[in-house]
Amino acid sequence: MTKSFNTIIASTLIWLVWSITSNAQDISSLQLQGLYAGTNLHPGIKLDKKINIAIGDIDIYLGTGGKPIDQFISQNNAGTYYVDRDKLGYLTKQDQDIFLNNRINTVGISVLLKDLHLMLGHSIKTKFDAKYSTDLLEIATRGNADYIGKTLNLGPDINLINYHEINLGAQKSWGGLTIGGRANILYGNAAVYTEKSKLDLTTREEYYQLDLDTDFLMHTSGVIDYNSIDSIDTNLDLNSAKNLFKNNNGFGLDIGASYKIGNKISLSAGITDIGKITWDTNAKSYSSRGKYSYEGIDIIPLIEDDSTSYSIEDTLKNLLKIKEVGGDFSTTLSTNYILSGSFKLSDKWAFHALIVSNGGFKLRRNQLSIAAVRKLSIFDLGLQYMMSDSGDFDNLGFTIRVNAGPVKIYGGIESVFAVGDPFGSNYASGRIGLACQF
Amino acid sequence: MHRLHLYIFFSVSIAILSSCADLDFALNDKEDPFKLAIPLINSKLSLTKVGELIDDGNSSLRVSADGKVTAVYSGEVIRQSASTIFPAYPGLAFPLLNETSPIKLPLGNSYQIKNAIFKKTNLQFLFEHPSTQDIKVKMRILEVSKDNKAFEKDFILPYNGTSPVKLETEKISIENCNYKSNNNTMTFVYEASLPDGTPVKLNRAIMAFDSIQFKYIDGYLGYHKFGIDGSAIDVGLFNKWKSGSFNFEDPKIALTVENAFGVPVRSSINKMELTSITGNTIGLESSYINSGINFAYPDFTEIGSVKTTSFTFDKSNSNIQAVFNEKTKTVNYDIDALINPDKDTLIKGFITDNNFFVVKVVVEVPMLGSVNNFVVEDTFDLNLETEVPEEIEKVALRVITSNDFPADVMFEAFMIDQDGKNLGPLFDAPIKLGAAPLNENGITSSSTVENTVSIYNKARISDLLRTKKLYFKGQLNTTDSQNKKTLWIYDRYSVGIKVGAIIDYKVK
Repeated sequence: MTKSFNTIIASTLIWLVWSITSNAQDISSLQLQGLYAGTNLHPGIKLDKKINIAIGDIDIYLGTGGKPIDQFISQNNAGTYYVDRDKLGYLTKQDQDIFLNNRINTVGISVLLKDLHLMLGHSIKTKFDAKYSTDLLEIATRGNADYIGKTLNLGPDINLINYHEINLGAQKSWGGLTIGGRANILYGNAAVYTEKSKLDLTTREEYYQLDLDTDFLMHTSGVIDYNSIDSIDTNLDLNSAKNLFKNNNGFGLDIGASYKIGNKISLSAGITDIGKITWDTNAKSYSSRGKYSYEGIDIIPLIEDDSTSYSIEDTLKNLLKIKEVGGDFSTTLSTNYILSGSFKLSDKWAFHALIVSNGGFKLRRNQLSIAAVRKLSIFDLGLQYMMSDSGDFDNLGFTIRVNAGPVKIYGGIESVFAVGDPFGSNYASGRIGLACQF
Repeated sequence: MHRLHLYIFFSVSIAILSSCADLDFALNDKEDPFKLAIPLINSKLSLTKVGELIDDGNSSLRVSADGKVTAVYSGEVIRQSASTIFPAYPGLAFPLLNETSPIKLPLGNSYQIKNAIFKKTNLQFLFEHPSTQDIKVKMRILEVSKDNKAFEKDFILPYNGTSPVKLETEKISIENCNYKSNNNTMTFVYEASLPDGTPVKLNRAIMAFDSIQFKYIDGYLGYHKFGIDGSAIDVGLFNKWKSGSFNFEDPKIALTVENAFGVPVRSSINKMELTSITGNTIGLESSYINSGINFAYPDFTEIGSVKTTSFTFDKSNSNIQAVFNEKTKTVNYDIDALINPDKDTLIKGFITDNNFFVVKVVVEVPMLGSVNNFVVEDTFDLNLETEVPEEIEKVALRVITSNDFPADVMFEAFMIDQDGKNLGPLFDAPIKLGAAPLNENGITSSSTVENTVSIYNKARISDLLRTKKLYFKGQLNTTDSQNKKTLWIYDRYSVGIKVGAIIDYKVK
């Protein structure tokens, strides 16, 4: 279906609303040690019991590495939020960013055979990150007339992959040492990969001639079909099973190890999402490279020939000179690096620490989390704190786990302030899931 | 919250990618409008380009090797062919009363043909004799030959039981046969005899031409006068004149004759008049109008070649400068061509059947002179056929003009609606282009550039879109024109216009 940009926006919103239902290498996984869901942090997190089943373990984190949204958003009397051009000056960084990781473990099961835990599961993963310039916000809210004589960097750097993962793993313990590994067969659903994103616009002083300097290369599979700047087919039907076992094949690997020192201390390390996907279904690449100018209409041909017509709008739309340049492409997975430590003070109190480096296409977020967990009857109640290299230090969260015999229900969020002050926070994370142990 | 963040990101991206042309999202809630700066027009009109635009076959610009421009207005090209002087003569029949019969060719008395070559001419004979035997006839034409053999044909009048015996011959072509005579006659000689050789005289002999046509003739070919017809040349130079004076230094009327006839030809100018845009008609005065102009013609060694004669009425031999600068609109002329104008029968000439005579008259106006307070007016149709987007609050047009000409130019335009009502000026102030500075050679060395800004609010934009006609008024003064300083206009001279707009756009 051909959509206008506005339709794309609407589609994007719908997709986001749908997808932000809960992924993360967050510290709550350490509170799920022993369960299958705990191995989602890395496969070296030790399992217990003979059979572990996880159903609907969903986690998500999203946010920005820049200023919280209320730094440049205002609300008018009608309750509508808008980009407040007067606040854009407070944005100290030239590039803003946004990121989202979402993982839905539909089902996972582990079975202990002799001393070897075999793991089998299915996940759907989405990774999205984007960089956009303050210039882009400025020109979108003010127009280019206030930037005559200046060069604005407008190139958006948008990246998204969504894929199915069939994982098969194993975990084995030698005394206090547990080593796990998981091989993941990947089937890509959709991808957008911005390999190059230079798009500089200069409005000249003389009579506002427009100069574009571009080196832009975007690959896509199943998301964008570009016809012209105002005619783009989009398909944001993510998380569907239509490409399961079929197209866009890839391979991934997760590895990890944990070591238990006595009964109170355990340490772990892992690397997840090593691998790549080759996109060969509906794969297209769009490029714009060069220096292009628009200097207005030459009216002489119009005088010569009355039948000659000209459209400024069409010329501007074609100024980018976007060409379809290729097909298949590959994306490497966004590898995560994990270090953790747990200290079990007593049967009632446990403390955890986690250092994670979460990968993205162009963004990497490093965070440190600590958590304290208090066992209270059938409940495990946790309080956690996370800080990141993005400059956010105010992420105080909580977790809850209900141990109803073999059935465990758990959930949590990483930033309560994001609940009370959504526009003042730049990070949010949540997790929910159901597990059974026998 | 972060959904909104994404929403904003995508909205902003889309807004930029779509060149800010279609903003459906409230990216901006401020009273201050979104301001879009965009180039609209970038054109440069050189005299070379003007020449291409106006060249309709009758009006054009001619550029000399050093770039000097001359406006050329051409009249109808008049062509006369040989058939005008020597038309095909219709068929005729003559009785041959005697064995030797000289026949005068029906060419009129003005011709004294010495030599000719026939074209598409056929002869036919009718013979009759009261014999009861076959009759033999040998026919000769003394002045006609082919390949140096005199024309000679044998015929038999067969007796088939009926007397008298008769013969009506087939048509006999004499095409490409030569004719040589001193008195425009053809002498037919026949010898008739019985089968035993006894001579007899035919009691009836007739010859006939189906037509008489020549490929070539020479001799004295007579005095002829044929008209080149009256014609008019439109000179559009002053059509939009309102006031002001001109001083074109050297306007000309050039007459060019291409002549392949091998006979003397002289012009006879019956009329050469210049009519001004006010309707005043003044005759061109020149001694050459009275005496005529002799045109060159090929001699007997140049048969088939074309001789060209160019004659120019200019300020040295006529009053054209004074008359033309009175804003000439049309030049009317009526010219005759005289063949053998002096009727001197001693002058021998020739004509071939593909000879022609071409007359071209052009008005040439070298762009050398001065123009003082030249004011022009014109009205142009305009129909923008669009609606003002409600979101547009204001448009500030920046107009940058450049001028290479050694002339101050000022122009303004007014918007006229369908009822003829003046809706106001198109620009905030008249556009003024200063004269480009001259170097010591009288050539402009650089352009002058003017930069103006006109503001269009909603009402004025609405007026512009209601405009059906643009009334245009311009004024032009060449540098130092008050002292009639003459300047050449060069083909590289141009005027340029660049227009950019800042559009205040209220985001809904």
